[in-house]
Amino acid sequence: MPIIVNLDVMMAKRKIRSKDLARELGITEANLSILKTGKAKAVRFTTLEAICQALDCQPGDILEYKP
Amino acid sequence: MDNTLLRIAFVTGRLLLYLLYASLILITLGLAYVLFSGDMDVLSIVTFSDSGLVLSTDRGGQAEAAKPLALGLLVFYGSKAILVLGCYVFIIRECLKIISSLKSLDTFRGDNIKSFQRVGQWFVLLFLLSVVQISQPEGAWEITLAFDPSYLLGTLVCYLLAEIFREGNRLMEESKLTI
Repeated sequence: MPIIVNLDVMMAKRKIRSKDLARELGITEANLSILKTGKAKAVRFTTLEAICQALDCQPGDILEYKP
Repeated sequence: MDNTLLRIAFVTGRLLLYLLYASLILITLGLAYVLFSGDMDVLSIVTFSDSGLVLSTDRGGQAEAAKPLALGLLVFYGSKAILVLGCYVFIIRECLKIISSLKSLDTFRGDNIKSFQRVGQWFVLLFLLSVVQISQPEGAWEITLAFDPSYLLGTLVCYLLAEIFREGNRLMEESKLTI
């Protein structure tokens, strides 16, 4: 899929652990792992909003389009 | 899921399965007894009439219409009955698996698609088994080819359900991977 998820990059920049981010987003660590590894088929706007809020970033910082 | 209808279906399926197992064992043992003991007197209680195979010691009323069954016919109908009952056993077992998945709220799992396809295949076998009928009216052999479309209709419905469940499985996987 040409959509790349840079969540791990942003997490490293913000120095936040998966466990803490998952708790903050209200999702399981397994689901966060699916998102990080790019296995997710879709991301809800509510989840994206929560990620942007937690990591203080824009959706474009997390998602990237590489054709 | 605590659903009365599903519970009734499961219990009925189980009872039917035990009944089929018992019938299967009885027919297999009966056929084996006739074949290996060489006791041909048994054949006199098995008759063939327009309504099908009749197992009766009372020959009074049917003596005119029914004739004692030849060994070849008994083997044919015995084997056919074993195969047909075997098909029904496998069909009910697959149905019980599907009902179990419905009860555990795992309706669209991949196994159910395979189960429906297998049931469809068993219906094809039942159709093939129903095609050939052998009888022996007036001492002469008669082979009848009869096409019963109801089994093929069953196959069609099963394959249709398999495709519906495949789509359901795809949507379920997509829903699981939506974060």
